[in-house]
Amino acid sequence: MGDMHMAPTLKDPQFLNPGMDSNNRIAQTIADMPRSIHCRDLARPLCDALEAAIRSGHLSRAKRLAKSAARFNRRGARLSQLLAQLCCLEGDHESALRILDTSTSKSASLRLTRVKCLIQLGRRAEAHLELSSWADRATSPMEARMLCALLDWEAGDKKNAVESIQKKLRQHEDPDSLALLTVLNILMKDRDATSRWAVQLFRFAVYPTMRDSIRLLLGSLGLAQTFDNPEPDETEATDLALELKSAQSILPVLLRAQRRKFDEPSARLLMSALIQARDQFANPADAYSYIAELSFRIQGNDSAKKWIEEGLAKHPMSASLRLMLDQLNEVDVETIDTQDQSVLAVIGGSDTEKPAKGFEQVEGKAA
Amino acid sequence: MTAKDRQTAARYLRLARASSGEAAAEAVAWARCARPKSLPALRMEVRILLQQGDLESADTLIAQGILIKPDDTALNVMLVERLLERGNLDRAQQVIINAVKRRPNHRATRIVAGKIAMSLECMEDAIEHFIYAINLRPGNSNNGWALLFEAFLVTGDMVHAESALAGMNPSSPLLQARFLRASRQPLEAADTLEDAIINSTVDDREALFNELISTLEELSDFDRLHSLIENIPTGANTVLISAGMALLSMGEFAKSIDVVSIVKGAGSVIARKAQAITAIAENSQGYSSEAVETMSNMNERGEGVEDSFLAEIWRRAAMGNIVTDICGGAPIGADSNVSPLARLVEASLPVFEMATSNDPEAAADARACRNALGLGNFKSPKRNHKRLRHQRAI
Repeated sequence: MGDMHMAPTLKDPQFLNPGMDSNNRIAQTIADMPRSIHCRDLARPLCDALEAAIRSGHLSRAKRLAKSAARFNRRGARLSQLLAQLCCLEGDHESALRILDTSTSKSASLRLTRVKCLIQLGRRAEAHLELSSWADRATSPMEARMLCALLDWEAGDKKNAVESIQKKLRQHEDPDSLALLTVLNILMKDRDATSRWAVQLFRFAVYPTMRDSIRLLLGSLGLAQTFDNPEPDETEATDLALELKSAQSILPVLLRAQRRKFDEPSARLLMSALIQARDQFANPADAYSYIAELSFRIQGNDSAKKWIEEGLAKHPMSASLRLMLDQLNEVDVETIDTQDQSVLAVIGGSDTEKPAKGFEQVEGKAA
Repeated sequence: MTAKDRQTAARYLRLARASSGEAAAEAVAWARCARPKSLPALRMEVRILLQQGDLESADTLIAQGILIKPDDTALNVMLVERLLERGNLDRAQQVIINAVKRRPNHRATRIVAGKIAMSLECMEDAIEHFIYAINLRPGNSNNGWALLFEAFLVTGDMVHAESALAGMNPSSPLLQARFLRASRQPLEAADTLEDAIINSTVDDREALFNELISTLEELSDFDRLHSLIENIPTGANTVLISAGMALLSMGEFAKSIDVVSIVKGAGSVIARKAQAITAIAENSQGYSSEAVETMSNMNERGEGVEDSFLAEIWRRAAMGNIVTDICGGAPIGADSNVSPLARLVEASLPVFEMATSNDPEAAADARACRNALGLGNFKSPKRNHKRLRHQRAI
């Protein structure tokens, strides 16, 4: 224990060599330490550095850090997980399995990685058995249940696969489960269930990152013609509203993304969430201005005005809402193009926006 | 129609029977010019079209033939086989019942009736039909024995399956391998198949390759599977499709695309299957817009590509995605964060990342998105792993 207290830490100036990058410094620090030292202080920065190296795809750096980790006699769950991940990335699933089997911790993520290694090593039956014993528990990761359902399906037990995915959906509705249920029901020739799950899945097409994948899946199964434009779902909007209340700082970023590249389905969802949460913001007038901006793009001038007027009725001292209303009144309704970014900048009235061409035009008109 | 026309038609038909490929197609076309309503010529043309994979033309011709002679047994059998392939079991059953009633001692009719019974999972009826067909021509019934073997295998009756296998002359290494696999001896099955491939003819090579691929998949012997994929004979389209599917399950999406890109026969069902695999593999790699484009090239949904095939590709891709994505994967290919806000932020990130490097506002917003997603200074982990896998595959 005495050794541990004396162990050098990364914060010690003796290890801060400006000529080295941080990962090299960590590796060097560990290499310079006496072998007997179990350095709790170093475990976290080492894990952080290792994780960063793995995630950014710098495998040689990750390997160097992993060598340093070999000096730790007892490995925690995170370090074991990262070392196993590195072995998997290098295609050495047997070593990964050995690391996971010798780990002192048996966390869910370790178990899941172990199952994946077993599958990669061709020990599918063992993996299936392991998953069946714990994937049904409410605490198991979603991926484990998905994998269990896929293995059930592979073994020909489609009914069990459907049941386990449906059980999972009761806890949390995610697009992957819905997609698998759609495919499984197509296979089981249950058209009603297929269209039911497809409709639920299509709700997630409001997100641009998922839209193409969902369209591809439904299109490949001949279900695409059933769907037109994705509409925001009420539950999804409520969830988003709840999240926005505690993460208001990200809202201007989302609005700026819409200004750069307008995406109607996600804008609709955002607007719907904002409408639900509008009066619970730290500065509700801002919420109204965001709603007005989105509404201008989606529904046009009149709708935006309606929201600004409602905002002004509740917050008559809001200068930004007043300015937006003035600007909207100045804009020529006949010639206005709601998809024109410069006009949006006018309506948005954001301080961070550069004065756009449209803004100058409006100013000129006002003068 | 004159006697000379009949003679010309008969001559060309003989020529067609004696030749193969394009020469046979040409000869049969001449025979049908001389005698358009000749049923033997029409049947011959249907067989050639089926061999060439031109299913639509074959279907049209079968319908024409049945209009000429509604109770032609051979044409009815062909119709039933096509209905069976298209999954229209009810109609197939209806047609075959009448055909069996009309000609109970017609071997091909009995065989197809057995196949339909198998599809309907009426194994007892299927076995009855196959035994009847074998007894009609005991010396020359390898096809009947093979189907009888399959039926016993499905019922799990290994003793009778082995007897059916013994009834075949010459014996089939393919069925022997299937028997070994069913008897839980996949390693022996793989060895049998490998030996058989060395001594095989062009005709049965594809079936042997396909069986070996699925056996190696069962064994998860990926090294052997990779070396087998390297040695797929040119033009073996069905083998390329099986290999592409096997690679999907292994999460080797780039290689899967490479393998199926060699499939020949634009517009055919097999080419559409290759396109479907390509699209789903592209989607799994994170190139979903390209995948949508690939899929739309096969007219949204390829005619003749069965739902079961598409479902199987999706399953395999999902499995490949989960198993190889060690940092947590999205089975269907979409990046699926659990919270709506995270999904919106994730969608906003590429918008800022696309902006020019001298746009500090975009850079700041991109940083804010990454921080909100807990990604620090690097991009989405999923994308990085995919890129790595892609690079490794190359």
